[in-house]
Amino acid sequence: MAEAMERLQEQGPGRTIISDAVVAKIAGIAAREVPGVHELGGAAERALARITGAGRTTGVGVEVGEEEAAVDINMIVDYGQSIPDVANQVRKNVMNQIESFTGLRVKEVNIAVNDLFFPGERAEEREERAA
Amino acid sequence: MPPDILNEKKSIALAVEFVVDRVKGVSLIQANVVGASYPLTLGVPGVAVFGPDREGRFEADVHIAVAGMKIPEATDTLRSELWKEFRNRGIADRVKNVDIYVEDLMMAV
Repeated sequence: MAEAMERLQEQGPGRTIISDAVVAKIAGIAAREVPGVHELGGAAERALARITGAGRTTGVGVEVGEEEAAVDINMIVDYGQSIPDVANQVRKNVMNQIESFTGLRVKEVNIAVNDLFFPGERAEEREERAA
Repeated sequence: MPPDILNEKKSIALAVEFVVDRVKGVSLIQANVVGASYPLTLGVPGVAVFGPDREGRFEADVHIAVAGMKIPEATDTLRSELWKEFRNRGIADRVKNVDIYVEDLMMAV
């Protein structure tokens, strides 16, 4: 406590506000690092991201407070992978990365698996199926 | 706005710009500040100085992007350097607080 007060006095008053986009970017990168995650986002989101260039935050929704964050992830999992295992690993990695990069406490990571990727399947076929 | 207030705001904005330039891994980023209009940004994009309040003190919003380091590390360093610089320039007692907005993160992946 005393150490924290000392640090505050040394640093001076003021708040640090981390934008949603920053947390979404970290969550997106962390989720993609997990083996078995093929892509993030639904077909429409990815099509929009190709136009807007918002690639790293596609499929990721966040709510950021002063000390906490909540994350929603939509993803496509590779066929043959255990969905609960992949989801657990994604949850763990996203929490670790956000907490370590931002100092925010991650309250929840909600994951929606909205499709499976079959090897050899073309993206257009999958998007047609999803639509 | 009286010229002395404008000059004080400008000196705070320039001090922030000077410090951000020297802190590794941090850069100013232009952001839309609600209700902001000239002379809030004072020619330093990413810095908005508000005030003065009844006690004649100002508040600064600093919008930054962080690259290659953890956010608390970057913002703690920046904040402590900012206040050090304010004290060096003799304007620390004219600044009430500095809010740091992390708007973007540059990551090598």
